[in-house]
Amino acid sequence: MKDFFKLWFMYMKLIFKSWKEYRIDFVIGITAMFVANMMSVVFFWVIFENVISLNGWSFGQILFLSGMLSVVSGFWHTFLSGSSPWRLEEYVRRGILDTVLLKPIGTLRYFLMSNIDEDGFGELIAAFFILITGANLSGIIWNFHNILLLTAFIISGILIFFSIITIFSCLAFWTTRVHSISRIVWHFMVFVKYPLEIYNPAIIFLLTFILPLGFINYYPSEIFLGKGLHLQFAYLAPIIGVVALIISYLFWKFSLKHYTSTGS
Amino acid sequence: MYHKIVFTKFKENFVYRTDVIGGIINSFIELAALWFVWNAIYASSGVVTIKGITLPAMITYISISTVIRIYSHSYSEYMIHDEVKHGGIVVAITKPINYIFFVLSRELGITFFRFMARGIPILLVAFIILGASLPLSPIFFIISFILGFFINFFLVVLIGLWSFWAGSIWGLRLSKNVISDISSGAIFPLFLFPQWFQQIAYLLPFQAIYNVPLSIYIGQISGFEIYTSLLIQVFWFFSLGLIALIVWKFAQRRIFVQGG
Repeated sequence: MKDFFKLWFMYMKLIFKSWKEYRIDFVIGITAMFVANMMSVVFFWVIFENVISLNGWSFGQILFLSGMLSVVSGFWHTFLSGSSPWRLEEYVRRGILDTVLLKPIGTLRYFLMSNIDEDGFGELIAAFFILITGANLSGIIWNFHNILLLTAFIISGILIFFSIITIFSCLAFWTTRVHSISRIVWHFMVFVKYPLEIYNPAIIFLLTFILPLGFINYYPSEIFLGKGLHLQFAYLAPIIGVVALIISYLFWKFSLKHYTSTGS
Repeated sequence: MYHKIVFTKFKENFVYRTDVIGGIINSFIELAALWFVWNAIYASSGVVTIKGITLPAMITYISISTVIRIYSHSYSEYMIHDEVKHGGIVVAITKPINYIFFVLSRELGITFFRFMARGIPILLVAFIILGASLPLSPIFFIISFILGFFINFFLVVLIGLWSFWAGSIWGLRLSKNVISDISSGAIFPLFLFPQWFQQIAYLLPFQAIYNVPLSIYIGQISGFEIYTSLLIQVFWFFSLGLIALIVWKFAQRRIFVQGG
């Protein structure tokens, strides 16, 4: 574990050095991601300019809901996107994976550490802005209890998000073209930007029990807002997060064993 | 000659079956989420119209917008970027064809394929299950739709050619997509925005890609207004096309400077 952090800090230092080299790309990337993520605020703002309500959810509550998702995905994007399907697909196709396998470090750890993505910072800044604005507008009090609870839910959300994507990335070890199939998971995230209760029961079931994206933001946010379906479900989020992480890690190891090089 | 490129690119896509299936599912997810959102908005607000737009018209709007998205959110900028960075462009310009027209033919081939593989399923679901309706003035819509395709194409070319001057086009492409998403009426009909915002959006080319064809489709604009809207599209068609060709001229010089 100590070695892990030592390596991680060395990688961070390297990455900061490369940012200094490409300063303009760095600024453009962060700004673009910031603006792209602020889009959803504009989207909801226009809805609520014209509309009285979205199933009883106010502007602030919707911002809080989508802000939680953005914080999770922003954190993932910055620090954990090394195991994303598109990266992995490229590593397999170009044969980079073969050289990584020879390194004296876990493959998953190597990918995560060597792929810290600065553009994610723009997303994270926007995400915290959305989350905090949403919380303030919905009258959530920033006391110790709430902050602790929110942090715990965000951590479990990150675990869920990371695990689901990693499981889909593993497909790259089995077949070389995973990009479009794994983008489907990405698109399912669209559903959890809005309150789950507006959907058909089949979709709610899917997003709760099969692809538990609802536990990233929807169920946890209910605790703070005091509304929505199955209020008690939120406390399952940390358990689901840990279980998903274990499953994804085991599946990663299992898939890696089945990996046969493309030979290029 | 160019029609052969169109046909080859069209056929090429049949190889990537998983991409096709993935693309269809992604379009459906996007459309489904918006369908539920708009249904919830109309139902929970207890209104029949929002700014004069009924729920079925709104469903029609988002369905057709998903179809336009098939070409407007392509990754063709990166194809040009790849050719510039990895030398493919040298091969392309030694052939007795204009590179821009070559890219256009390729784009047409890919787009035809996507309309067939993705657009038609979306339209069938939209018409049969979601209750979308047919265009009120089909001929004007088709003209406007085609003009929109070209306006989008020229923007794609301009961003792709930017690779001649910059190391990466990632940031520029994302910025364009962000501005486009918000000001084109792609996700959200422009007439729901505040007046001042609409006035800014009408000055940008992006609304000519989504807002004009969609407004004609659902009958938001009619009569004389259709002609002025089409005229704006024609204006963008010619000016962006001209700029693209000029930029290509300058870009060619850079190839010689670098020695290929």
